[in-house]
Formats: sequence, structure tokens, C-alpha cells
Amino acid sequence: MKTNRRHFLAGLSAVAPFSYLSSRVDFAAETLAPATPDYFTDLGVSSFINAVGPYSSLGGAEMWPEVLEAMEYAIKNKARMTDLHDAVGKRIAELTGAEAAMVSSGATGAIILATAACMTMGDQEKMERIPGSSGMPNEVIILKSQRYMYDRSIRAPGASLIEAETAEDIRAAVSDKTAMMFYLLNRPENTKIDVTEYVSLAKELGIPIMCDAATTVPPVSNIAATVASGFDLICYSGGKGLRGPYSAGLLLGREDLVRFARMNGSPNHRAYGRSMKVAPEEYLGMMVAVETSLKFDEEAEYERQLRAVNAMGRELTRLPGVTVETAVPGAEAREPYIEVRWDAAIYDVSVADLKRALRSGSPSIEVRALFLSGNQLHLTAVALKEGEAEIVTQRVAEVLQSHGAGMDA
Amino acid sequence: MAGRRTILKSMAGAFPLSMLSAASSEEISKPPARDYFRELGLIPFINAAGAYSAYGGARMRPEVVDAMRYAATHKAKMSELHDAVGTRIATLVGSDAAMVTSGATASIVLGTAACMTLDDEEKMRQLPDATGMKDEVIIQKKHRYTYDRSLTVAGAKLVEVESEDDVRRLVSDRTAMMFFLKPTQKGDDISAERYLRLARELGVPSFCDAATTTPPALNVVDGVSDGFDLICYSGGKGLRGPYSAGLLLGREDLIRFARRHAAPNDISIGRGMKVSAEEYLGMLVALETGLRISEADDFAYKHDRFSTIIAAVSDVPGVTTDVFVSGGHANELYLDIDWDTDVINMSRQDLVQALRDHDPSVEVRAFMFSGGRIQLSATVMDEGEDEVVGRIVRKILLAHS
Repeated sequence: MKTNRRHFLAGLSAVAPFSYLSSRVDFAAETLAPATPDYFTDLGVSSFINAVGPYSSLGGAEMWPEVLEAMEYAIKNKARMTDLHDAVGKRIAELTGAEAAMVSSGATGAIILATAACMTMGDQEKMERIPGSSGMPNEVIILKSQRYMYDRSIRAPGASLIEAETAEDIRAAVSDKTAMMFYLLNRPENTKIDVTEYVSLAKELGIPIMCDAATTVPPVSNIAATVASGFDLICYSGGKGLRGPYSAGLLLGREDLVRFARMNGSPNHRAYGRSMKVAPEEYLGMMVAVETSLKFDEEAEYERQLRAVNAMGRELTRLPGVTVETAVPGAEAREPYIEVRWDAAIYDVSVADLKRALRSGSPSIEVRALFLSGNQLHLTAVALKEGEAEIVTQRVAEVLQSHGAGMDA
Repeated sequence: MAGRRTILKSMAGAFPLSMLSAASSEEISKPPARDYFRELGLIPFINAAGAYSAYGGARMRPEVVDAMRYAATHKAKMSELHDAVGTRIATLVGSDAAMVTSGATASIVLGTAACMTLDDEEKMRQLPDATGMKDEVIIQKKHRYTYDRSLTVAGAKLVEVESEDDVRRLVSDRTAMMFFLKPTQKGDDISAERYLRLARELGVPSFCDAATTTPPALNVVDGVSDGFDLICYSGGKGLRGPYSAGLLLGREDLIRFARRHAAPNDISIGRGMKVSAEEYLGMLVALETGLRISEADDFAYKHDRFSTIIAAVSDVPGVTTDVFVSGGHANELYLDIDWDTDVINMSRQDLVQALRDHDPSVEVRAFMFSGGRIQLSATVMDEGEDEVVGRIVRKILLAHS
């Protein structure tokens, strides 16, 4: 558990991935240094196998070893926050091809600060006043088919959402109250306006346009492509596909808007977003996460995941009445998964019960069940360690069989 | 665990926080680590001002860094971790319940939101639009301060009071919370005790911002026992925990509501105020360690740093020094360096600027003194940095003698 948590990192291990982290533990006997307490066990926080992926509720992605190293550096060495924010922002902008960049407290933090920036445009009085938003642009255009869980954050600094579907809708809806147009990159399907047209419409109407691209990495090459597609602001999650710090994210885009977003953020004392603090270790860690991701052999990692999910699929299709399909999300992070379906006539178990049984079993396993009505679940290998795919397969099979018609004792 | 002195003695050497980089033979053969800040063109920076957010916050305790490393390399489900750490912190400080936030400001935002919505999920979704809900926060006029900005982030308005009569007159069914600031520079029109009694009598949740009232960590226990329904602390300052972490302590129901307003809940207004697993655990360990380590040990450490600086500057003609403990709600040790401007031709501002422009750059406390005086804090000073600071101050003062 403590070392070599990702077998595909083995290639990097002239310096073993976590050796510098765990050396205190490993050499404890010789140095008599006190061993790190096993905090989670002490607290009664259980370990689990993550067949879902880097969800926030499950702790996000495992950070790159390089990120951990950078974070320890930033903890040991001090810097003035403004200088650090300037320097890291500049470096991330260079790496991604964006005009400017900042590190936020996650993709949601980026959406909030971006919205605040487009509402206030650097006006001190307005910045002091939000979420009170009278007398300033406070409407955000969103495509009806792209309404989603996190559009809640657009409203946080005091904006309201205006739904639109077509270019005509948008033209009719845009006024001097319009602060921003919003686009959700991972949901292009069912839109009545295509992204290119949406972006050019925003330009034509002179409205800043923001793109939530939070979950569209890997591959990391998507960032440069999205930056080039003309959005004024784009946000990414830091602690997921980029394998940076959990509570970090990126806001990329126009120099003025990123500057305004920063003005609304920490450590500015009276900023609306003072509470969305980003630690220096997160700031630097995020930069190193981008650097490392850009160097990483994503194709090999993709192949590893594909092999792992296919192997799980092969095992599970041995069960009568179980079918498996391998899929790769289109607009989402390129993380292959298998969709497992079972014949309800053979296995009398709902997906909710199956999920619960896997969670409460030993070891505890988290699986993805997007539609709790049907008999289907998803398994990914993004966060699976060596040997865990086999355990997941075996447990899913066991639970299904224990509900098998005619298989009960 | 050995006392703080012992740890620091055994750590003496090249690495001030050598617990971070266990000096085994393996380590020595490792290629030198990257100097990220140099690469970024940042001039090395020594913080002799104190644990300010703008300067990177506190010097985290080695135990905290250790715990953060642990949390970064072990998996936990966030809700389980939040429950477990919350329970442990509450036990440590004697509160009903506890949560870790993304800093004291976030504690204020989430605490206010909790008092506005209580457990009404529709209202939680509706914020910052506060139509139809309690949206007023009572604050003493003398308690207006920089961070009262965070009281309005969730959509509330401030209602100023100067007397108990004002409170009785202005509390209504719109009142969400009564806010108290500890300490204030201007004093109180209504003492904490009377303010609290009033809040209870009127049935309004009370909130105390005690962010800056540590060290020592033991002050948290005292603060909780004052009896406010909610009380908040900064994590990355006097408690020497993670930079973007803070504490919200208090009534079980209110903490539960505050958590629903926070990450990782999707309906929440505070989804942007993420707290990582390493920050959550690190905050617990900061508190545990702080409560275990005596104030005398922390003072001794700071005193050593100041002794080094004093030794470096005391023979400069015209210079006098003074080490003292600040009064008030936090016990901090400070060093004043005074100089006779007739002997050393330098204003306070000249020296502050010269220190800032130096490589390495040194930041001292931002106080306006008349004549020749600067004030230093050793809170964020590593061993070895004291020598550098002493050398630089000496060099600059001598150059103007």
C-alpha cells in the first residue's frame, strides 16, 4: 500500500515513485525515527478499492510523485503569494498556450471566480458587493441541454442562469445584463448549436465565453486544442485527470479576465473568494502536475487501462446471462470502462443492492452506477492498483451468483 | 513523542525540517531536488513578519507535513474522513462537533450559510438569493473589520449595533446570526458574556471569529468553553496547520448544516471551498500536536532565533534590541530592533525596503513606528534563517552608519 501504488509508474523508478515519501517508514528500524502513525486505521477510516475513478468524494486522483515532491518543497520554502501566483500563472500559460493562467481551489472555484470576473470586470465597488449584483451584468447564458450539477456554482457569486437553445434564442437573450456565455465541453450532444458557432456568436456579441472542460483530460493534449478553440476562459479540475492536488484547479484564458478573477480570489482580504484559499503547495503542485502530465506516456497508460477493463470483462462474461461492453467516453476524459449488464431473470439483484453489497464487503469496493434503474454498472481501471482488477471481478461475480436463481442453498 | 526541544536539537543541520527528507544514505545518493522557486525566478524569501496568508502562512509542524504525506498516499472516502476527523477534533477541544474548512474565512461563510438555511435543502440550493429566509447578521459596530466581507458572501446583510438595546430592537425573524469578533482593536460595546447571554435569550445562533487567537493551541479549548454556538480558527497561522485550512467548531446541528454547504456536496454554495484529505488530516494533527507541545517549548524555539539575530546586530553602534511577549488573545514573541537615527542614517521605511529588495528578500512586520525601529516575528523562521536575517540587517545598518 505504501510503495509502488501505480505499477505503470515503474518505468520512472530510477527513483522509486514514493521512496522519498516512505523512506521514514522503510528505514524506521535502522534510524529509530518514529514511524508515521497509521492515521486512517487509527481513525477507523476504511480502505477501499476504487473502480469508479478520480471522483472528489473518493479522494480524487493519485497525485504524481513529482507533484508530492513539489508540494513538500513549497511547504519548506516560503514565497510571497503574489510573486508565486504571478510566476506559476505565467509558466502554466506557457505550457498550455493560454494567454494567462491561475490556479484555483478546484474547477468549481475556477467557475465561481470566472463568473465573478465577468460580472465585475475589475470594478472595486462591484467586487466588494457580490453576490449582491444589482447594477451590473449578472446573467449567464447556458445551453438548455448543458444544465448540470455544477451550474450551481455560476449562481454562487450572484448570477442567474438564462437558458437558451439556438442562435436566435441567444441573440434574443443577450442584453447589457449578460455577463458571460457558458459552455460545457463534455456535453456536446443534443445541443442545437455547435461549439464553433457558439464561440463565434459570443465574439460577435462581445460577451466573454467560458468553457467548463473540467473532466476532459486525459489526454492532456486536449488542453491545447481547447485553448485554441477561442474560449475566453477555460477551467480544468486539478485533482483528477491532471493528477495534481485534490483541491486545485486551473483557470486559463484572456489576460484581463484572469487578472479580474484573481482579484476576486484569495489572498485578497475582502475578495468574494477569499475563502477559496489555494495553498502555495497546491499552486506549485498544480504547475508540476501540468508539466508532468505533458511528459507522460498517456498512450501506454490508456493501453494499461484498456487491458485491465477487458480482462475484467472477459472474466465476467463467463457468467451465464452477463454481457459486457467496453466503451471509451467521447467528450469526457479518455478512460475506458466496461458496462456490465445482467439478466434479471437469472440474477435477482438490483444495481443499488449490488453496489451496496460491494461497498459493505471486504475489501470494500466502489463501482459506478449512473442509472440506478437498469441492471448495469460501470467499472474503470483508472484508480485500480496491481491485483485489484482481479479482486473486483471476483467480488462482482460472487455477489451476482449469490443472487442467482436456483443457486441459493 | 519527545518534546519539541529534543526534536529540534536532533534535527540541527542542513535541513531545518529534516523530518521531511529523512537523511538516510539513500537520500544522499539522490540527485539534487529541483529548486522550483529559483527556476521560476523567485528570489528566496525569508518571512520575519509572521504567519500571514500573503506570505505563505505558518511554518507547518513536521508532524503535520508527515500526516499530509500519509493522506496523500492513502485513500479514504471524503465523508468518512470528514466524520472521523470531525469527531476527533470535537473530542480534543470539547465542542459538540467540528469540521475542517478551507480557512477561517470559509468557516465564516459556511457558518453564516448554516444559520441562514438551517436544514432546509431548498434554501441551501437557493443561496446567495436569500429571499424568504433569515438574512441579517448582527455585528457590533466596533467589530466591523476586513473579514466581515465573508459574512455577506452567502447572501446575508450586516446590521450594526452599539448597545444591548440596539440588539433587542434590531433582532427580528430576519436575524440569522449574532456575530462576535475576538479580539478587536476598538474593544466591545457589549462584552462577550453579555452578548452571548443576549443571543441565548433571543434564540439567535451566535458565532465567534477567534481566528487569530492562537498560539497557544490551548486557547481553542478556552474559546470553545466560552459557549458560542459556532467558533472559528485559522489553521495555517497560530495552529501551524495547512495553509488553506481552518476550523469550525460548535453545535452539532449547525456544523452538520455547514458541512452540507461545503465541498464535496454539489448543491452547496461552498463547493469551491475544497479541502483535501491531506488538509483535513493535517489540521487534526496540527491541533493534536499543538495541544501536546508546551508553549514554553515554542517560546524557546523563537527565543533562540531572536538570540542569533541579536548577537549579529547588538554591537552595531546605536542599535538596541528588545524581545517581548505580546499581550492580548494570542501569546506571540516579538523582537524590536531600534536604532538611533542620529547614528545610523536610515528611516524605518528605508530599512524595510532594503530588506525587501535584498537577495534573499526579508519581510518584517508591517507596523508604522516613529524613528528607527523594525519588529520581527520568528513564528515562520526556520533554523538557519535567523543567521541570514541577522547578517543582512547588520550589513544594511552598518552601510548607513
